[in-house]
Parts: sequence; C-alpha cells; structure tokens
Amino acid sequence: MPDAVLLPQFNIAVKHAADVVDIAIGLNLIMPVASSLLRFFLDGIEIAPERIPEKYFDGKDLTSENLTNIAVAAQEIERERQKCSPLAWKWWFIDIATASAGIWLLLSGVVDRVGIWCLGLFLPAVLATGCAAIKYARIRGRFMRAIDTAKKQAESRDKSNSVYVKAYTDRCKKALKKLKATNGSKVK
Amino acid sequence: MTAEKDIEAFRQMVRRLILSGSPVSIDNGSPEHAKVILEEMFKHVQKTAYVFCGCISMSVWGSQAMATNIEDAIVNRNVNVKFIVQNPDKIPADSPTVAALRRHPGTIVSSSLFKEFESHFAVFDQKMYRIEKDDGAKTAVACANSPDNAVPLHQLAVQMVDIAAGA
Repeated sequence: MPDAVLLPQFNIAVKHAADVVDIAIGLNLIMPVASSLLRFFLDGIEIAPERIPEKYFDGKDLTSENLTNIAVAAQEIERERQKCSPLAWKWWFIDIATASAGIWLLLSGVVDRVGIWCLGLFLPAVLATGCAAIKYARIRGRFMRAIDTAKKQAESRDKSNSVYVKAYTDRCKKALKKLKATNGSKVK
Repeated sequence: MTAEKDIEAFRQMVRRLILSGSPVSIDNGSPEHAKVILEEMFKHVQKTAYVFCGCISMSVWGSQAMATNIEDAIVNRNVNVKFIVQNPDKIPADSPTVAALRRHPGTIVSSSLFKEFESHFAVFDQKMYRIEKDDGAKTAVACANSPDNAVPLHQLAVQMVDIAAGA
C-alpha cells in the first residue's frame, strides 16, 4: 500500500491513541478528587477532644451522655477520614471501568467525538464529588447536632463546682476537728 | 450503635481528656460512667490516689480491669493508693479490687469519724478528681485537670488517712 494512503490512517490512529492516553491520565487525576475533597472537608472539623472544650464548652459542665454522643460522632468523622484515600479501591474500580469502556467505544468506532465522551467519562467523578459533599454534610450535621445539644444542656457550673468542693472540704475538716477528740480510729 | 460501643467511645474521650490535661468538667451519674472515669484515672495516675467511698462497691469498683489498673499503679508506678472506707463491714469479699488491695496492706483504711460525710470522692495527683454531689439527683462531677478543686480534696483525704491510721 502506498505511503500516501497509510499516513492519514496512521495519523488518525496516533491521534486516537493520544486522546485515549489523555483521557486515562485525566481520569486518574480527577477521580480521587472526590475522596480528597471529602478528606479536606472532614479535616476542617475540629474533633480533638482537648480542643472541643475550649472551643465550645469553656467554663461549663458536660454530661456523660452528651460527651458520649460527641465521642461517637467524632469517631464517625475519624473513621470516614481514614477511608478517604485517593487510592481507595472503589475509585480505581470506577476509573478503570469507565476508561475501559471509553477506550473500547473509541477503538470500535462507536464514539468518535472524544470531547463529548470526555464529559461522559468525567460524570462519575462529578457524581462522586456530589456524593462526597452529601456525606460530608450528613457527618458534619450529626457532629454539630451533638455539640449543639451538649451546649444547650451544659451548665455553667465551674464556679458552683468549686464552691461545692470548698464548702464540702471545709465542712468535713471542721467535723473532723470536733469529732477527733471523742472517737477512736482503726486501720484495716 | 450498642451501649457497649457508646461506653467505649466515652472511654476513649475520657482517656484523651486525661492525656491532654483538659479542664472540662464531666457530669456523671451512672455506675458505668463512674467506672470508666475511675478506671481511666487509675490508669494514668502517677503519684497519689485517694478514694473515699462507702464500701468499695461491686457496681463501680468490682471489675477486673479496675483491679488490674489499681494494682498496676501500686506495683509498677509506686502510686500511694488509699481507700478510705465508710462501711468496712460491707466490703464485698469476692471483689477483684478488694483482693488486689488486700495484697497491699494499708491501702484500705476506715474510721467511724467519717460515717456522716455525705459525698464520696476520689482524687488523683492533686489534679484529677471525681466527687459525688449531694444534690438529690445522685450526680457526680469529674475533671481531669482542676488543681483548684483537687488540692482541697487531696488535703482532706490526707487528713482522713492520718486520722484513720491513728497518726
């Protein structure tokens, strides 16, 4: 076959191959975005216990139940945060599946408009990002509800605790002084 | 989520509050929460642990974990542990904690002088404490880092131990 006939076909093949490579690279870069985005959002939630009191409960008492609810919500955030790996298998599975479908459609000639197909390929990433945003809103909502409930029920009792302890210790010390002279003591 | 998991989450939170030296106060009333708080405080105490209680009850003090933490503090960290008991006659004989304490003579003391004291408490290292508040609601408050409240309780406990020991 003459070179003049082969060259355009070769050029088309090279162009298609370049498009496929571009798409694959683009996908591999963009698919983990959803996971990274969720991680970025979750990192923004302050869940370090030592910071929670300073931030939300300065000078107030927390109930055990509310502290438990905050702890459970914080654990969920931590769990989800650990799951947010750009290398998570689900991203690669979607990535490879869509890329494979795209490559097959391109090579088989079903689709020859790469630009439009690119939009289709990016759709899972867009959906995943949407899912990540919804998941973030749900997790953050639960955590903030736990904080808000605790804030509403927290009592400003720092001073009253001190007053109670001081009054109690003073009372006991006075009682001990009075009783010490008249009663015996023993060691077990 | 089961109650057991909730308690575990609560334990993790209390542990991190203790490790970070948080000044936040925790209201608590149930024996489960009291047990978790006291187990964790015993786990992290370094020098002194004074407990004023009714009879070293099984519901709060009866777990093997509690006994292990207390004995570990005594043996491995040389913590000065004293249980000041109001009703020595009611001390449960089958409690692992009581058995652990009895292996170290002098850790359980009592005196009839303390019969009328209404609030039980525990104080650790002059900074961590838990005290049952006599407010009718059977509540208690605990804090991992409050020297303002822990020091007076520590001083009272030292005085009580001295009296009980006949010093």
